[in-house]
Amino acid sequence: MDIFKHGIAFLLLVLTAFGTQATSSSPLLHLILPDKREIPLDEAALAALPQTEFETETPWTAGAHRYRGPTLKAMLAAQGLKDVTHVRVTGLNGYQQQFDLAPFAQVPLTLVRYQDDKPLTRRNKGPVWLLMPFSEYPEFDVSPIHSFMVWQLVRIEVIP
Amino acid sequence: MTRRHRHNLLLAAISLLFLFSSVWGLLLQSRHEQLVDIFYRNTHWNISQVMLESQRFLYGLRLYRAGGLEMEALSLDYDLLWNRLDVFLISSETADARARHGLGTVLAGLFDEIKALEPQIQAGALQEGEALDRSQARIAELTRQVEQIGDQILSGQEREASLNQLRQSLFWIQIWQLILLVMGGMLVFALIRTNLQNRRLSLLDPMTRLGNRRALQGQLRQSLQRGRVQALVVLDLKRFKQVNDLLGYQVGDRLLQAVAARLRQAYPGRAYRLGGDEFAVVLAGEQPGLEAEMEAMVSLLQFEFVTRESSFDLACRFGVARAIEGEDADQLLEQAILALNQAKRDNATLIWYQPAMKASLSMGQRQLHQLREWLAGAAPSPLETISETLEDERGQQVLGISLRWRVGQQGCDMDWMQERGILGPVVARLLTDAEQRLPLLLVLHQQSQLAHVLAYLPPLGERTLILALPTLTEDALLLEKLSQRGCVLALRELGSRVPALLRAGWPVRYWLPDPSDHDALLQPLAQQLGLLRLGRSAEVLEGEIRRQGEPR
Repeated sequence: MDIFKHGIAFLLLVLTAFGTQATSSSPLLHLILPDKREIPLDEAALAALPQTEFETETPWTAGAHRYRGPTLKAMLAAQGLKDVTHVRVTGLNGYQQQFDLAPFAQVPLTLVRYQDDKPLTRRNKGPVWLLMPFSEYPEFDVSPIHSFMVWQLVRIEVIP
Repeated sequence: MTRRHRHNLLLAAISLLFLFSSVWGLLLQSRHEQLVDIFYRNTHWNISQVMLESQRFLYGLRLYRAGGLEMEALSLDYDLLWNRLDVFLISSETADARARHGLGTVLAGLFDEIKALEPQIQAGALQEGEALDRSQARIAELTRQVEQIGDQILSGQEREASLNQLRQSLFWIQIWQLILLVMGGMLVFALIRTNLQNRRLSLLDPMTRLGNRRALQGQLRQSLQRGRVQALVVLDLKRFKQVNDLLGYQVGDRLLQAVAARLRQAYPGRAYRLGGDEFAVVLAGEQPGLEAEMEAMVSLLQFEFVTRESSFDLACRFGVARAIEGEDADQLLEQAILALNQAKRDNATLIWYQPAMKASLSMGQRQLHQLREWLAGAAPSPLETISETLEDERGQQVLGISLRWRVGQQGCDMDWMQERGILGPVVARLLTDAEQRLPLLLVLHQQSQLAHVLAYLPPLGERTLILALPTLTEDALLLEKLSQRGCVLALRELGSRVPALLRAGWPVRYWLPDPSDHDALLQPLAQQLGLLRLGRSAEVLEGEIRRQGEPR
């Protein structure tokens, strides 16, 4: 009986261990290197990076909110990518944008994961939203820049 | 309002319109970009996305109920539609689209229906039944309305209206750009015109409407390069200063205009005013005819000038310089001016330039420079003092001094020194340097030189200075200075005014006649006036007589 109990407990433990591992390792987005190598980035990988936080209004939300996440630059640097000039970003619904990073050299272009300390969900532009603080940089608050703020971000491709 | 006022006003209006059209053009352009943005991105993209995603969810829902779709796939469509509706109902980008044909209300209704399904979606399965049938029917109806409104906005008349708005905005941008171009062109035209006008004015003498000195130099340079110049004539008006002083400058101006008119008529485009009463004419033609041409010019400018108040005969002085190959404009002008200056000195009508004039001018400048250096104590004297012992009737010896240049041994002229303003300083320096104790005699040519000498004269002390003059006229100021300085005068001619001068207190003590036969006649008069006759001493005369008597 004890052995049976222990056995069940062990089995549950193994299952939950696998289960948690499976959920924690399910990637939020994929980074594609110039050599076509695909690097999956999960919750932990993003959380391990230095976090940036800012409060801003956006054209797609009501009122100002606090946003938090690693900057795109920090994420690329962590992968050993220092001099990236162009990236192509893709959203969950297939929306795609390719743009030059040079204008954003001094701007915290962020892979936002949290809004007001709550993780972004698929129903709220999540799980990752490429965003910058428009309230702090009003000169960027223009239509061509708005196009680059891709929500439900699933894929970042580095263009050589 | 004068023509000039109108012109300025027009120019100001054009400038304003230019500025306005450039600013307005920029504004229109940015508004046009906004319009394009609203049409293509905000309206077109967002509406088509919301239409697409609502339809996808509806068909996903039907497929799921028919067992053809997993919950996971339906959940993705559900979340995407949720996100899309959430954004569409809040975003400032879609504010315009929400207001059209009640799209906002329909979408809000759809969002409520979607939200009502949330617990079942979260649970992982939809509960089949009447409630779900009704919900699906409502979602289908709302999706149909969204589709209908979307089609209305994106196609047909409204789209055409939006495109027309874009075309119209582009048309106005082009109109204003055209205005900008025309105004810019007009401004450039005005600028070029003003520039040309200023250039013309800068070469024109305003009073006589002849070319000025700058015009002459430019024209002369060009003509010399092409070898078209035969000679340059510079002329001035005799007694012009008197005309100005006696008849007024208005008459003087009219006289200048009359001369200019004659010159312009006879030498169109080749007559210039150098300034004051000086004109220049460039002669081009055959060399042999030059003398005849000059004669013609002299007689052209010899005319009676009649004014309301008076009339007088005008005469001019001419200096002519022939053009020689390889000469530049400045040289030729300088030569003609030198010839004119010579004509002024000689009181001649026409003088042709000779190279010697240039040499004498430069020698004069060199001599003047040497004298100045000497007076400043920086160089030895370039002059030699020649002394001649004279005697008055009582046998008192007087030392007559005259000056000559060490180089060339030519006499140094008093008039020459006076013209250059150094007569007084030179005489003062001579007196300071002189060692002789005898009375000194200096022969001057004009009364004005006396004033100049007195102005610089050092204190004489025990010494006597006799200044000889041809004649004297009354001048109270000069007399006062003379008595202050303690100079004595000698006269060369004894006129009828001498007694009056003596009575007035002029310190005339001597008579210095030119050696001639008339001396004897005037001797009694001199004695009567109490003037002592100065002449060469007996010893010198004897010596000369002896030398003349010797056989050659």
